[in-house]
Amino acid sequence: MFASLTKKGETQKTEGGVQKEQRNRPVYQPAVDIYENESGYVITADLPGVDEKSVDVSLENHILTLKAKASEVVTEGYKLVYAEYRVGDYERSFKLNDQVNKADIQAVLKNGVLKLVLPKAKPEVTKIPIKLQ
Amino acid sequence: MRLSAISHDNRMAMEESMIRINRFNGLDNFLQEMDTFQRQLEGLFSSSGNATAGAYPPVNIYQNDDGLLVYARVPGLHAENIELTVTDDLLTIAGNVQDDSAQASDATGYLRNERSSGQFQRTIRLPYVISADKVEAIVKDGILRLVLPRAESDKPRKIAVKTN
Repeated sequence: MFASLTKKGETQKTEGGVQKEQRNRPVYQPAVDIYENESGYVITADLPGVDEKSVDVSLENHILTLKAKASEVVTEGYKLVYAEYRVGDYERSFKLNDQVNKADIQAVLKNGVLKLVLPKAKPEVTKIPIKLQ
Repeated sequence: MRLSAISHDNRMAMEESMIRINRFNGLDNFLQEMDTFQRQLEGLFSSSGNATAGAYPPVNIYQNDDGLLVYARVPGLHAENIELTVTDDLLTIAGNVQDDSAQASDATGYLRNERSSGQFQRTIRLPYVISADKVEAIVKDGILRLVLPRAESDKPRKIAVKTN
């Protein structure tokens, strides 16, 4: 089972001590579905409250990282009386195997759901010539 | 009539009716508290930010004297698949999450299946009666936002006291 990680968002400060960005929100791991088909893998992640400007997908050294920020809700003049969820940021990483063609990964975000398509690379067969001594 | 003189059957009937009255006041709140407590306990073990075994969709409710704001988390839900009903002080959110990944016809294997899909229905009792014809509902990025204005008939009215 995956580890349940809830960590506070980062605080970034510049050299002069001026705070550039401080986020005091919980960071959640979004729920995902991963399945495999003939041409590759498909990862679908639930990111409610996230639009395409607030999501970041990056790949480094076989690790695919998904980061997103949910937008704040406007509740001026109202008092919170009942809460079942908290608005927060999302982060989750996946380790890819060599089968994935990293250059052709596609990402689509719709209705708060991110769909990543990871095509499999065609296996490269290198013929090795044998020289006769 | 002394208690010891009551027959066994009569006493059972009396005790039963007493329990029923208590339930309306004390026990009802207790059950509600246990429910909240259990949901919080389940929430501790969930990593995605909402109680996994709780009601779907999870909601946050904001209130003032003139109306309510209800936010519901419904990732992947299209506007045409949501059914909203308001009757007096009851709000019902129903719908169908169509999940293209869980039902992918060409899938050869599933590595993870954490998301939910399918039919759902949830009814919430609100603190006052709502003007059903003035309700606004918007769904964006998987968050449903409802504005529920309070019915004029349910607003408190000041009553002037006359002296005779």
